[in-house]
Amino acid sequence: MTEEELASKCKLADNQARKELYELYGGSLMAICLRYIGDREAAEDVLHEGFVRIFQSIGQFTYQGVGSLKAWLSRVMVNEALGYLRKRNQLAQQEVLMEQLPDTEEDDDGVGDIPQAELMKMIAELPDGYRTVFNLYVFEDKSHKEIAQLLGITEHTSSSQFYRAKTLLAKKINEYRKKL
Amino acid sequence: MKSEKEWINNLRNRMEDYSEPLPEGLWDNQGAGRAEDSKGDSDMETVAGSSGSAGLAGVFPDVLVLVFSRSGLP
Repeated sequence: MTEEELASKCKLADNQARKELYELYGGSLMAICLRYIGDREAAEDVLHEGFVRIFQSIGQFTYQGVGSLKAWLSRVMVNEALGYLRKRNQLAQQEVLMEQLPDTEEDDDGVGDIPQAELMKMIAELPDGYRTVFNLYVFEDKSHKEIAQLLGITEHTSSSQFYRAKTLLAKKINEYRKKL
Repeated sequence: MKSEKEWINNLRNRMEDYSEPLPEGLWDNQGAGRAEDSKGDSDMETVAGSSGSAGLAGVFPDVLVLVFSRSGLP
């Protein structure tokens, strides 16, 4: 079944199609939830709520070519995760004391040698506010201006939070490499 | 030193196809069978075991069987 057919059947409340959609995309959507929420149990709750939202609003999806369904599903799930964080006031920025930030330069080797699951764990461990900005900037390709509007913070704060998140992540990556 | 953009692209590409295991029992076919047997207009039911999801059947009565069992979690 093509993704266009899958979406069409889901719009018609075909339960088999819904299950197929869940099995096809659930894993990557769970990864999004965990990347934003940090805590697995809470991420599972968000995944559940996100799928309810998806099936409620699939009628609004318009097929725009290969990959458009996954992109739409991902947007719904990101919004669900942000809603969850907003409700729990976890979009509020947590300050990490400057002395807690690493003074090492980030490694320039990229992340190609780090297992994906380790990277996920490192991102999930970032402080809530930093993690949200980091996710939006890196994975949703939002500008600091857009993030500022979305989270109700200043562009400067977004930029600062991103820098700190990136620095903390680079530190975690360096520490991981040292353990190898 | 790689530029920030390169570093970000590298990370984004690295994680692009990443999936996490799905929670056990989130989708339960057994529930579908039960739902088909159930009375009323709804041909499916939503069962939510998580604290924030109770009552979804009322919100979303005609759609899916989504069983979210927490019994195996600490």
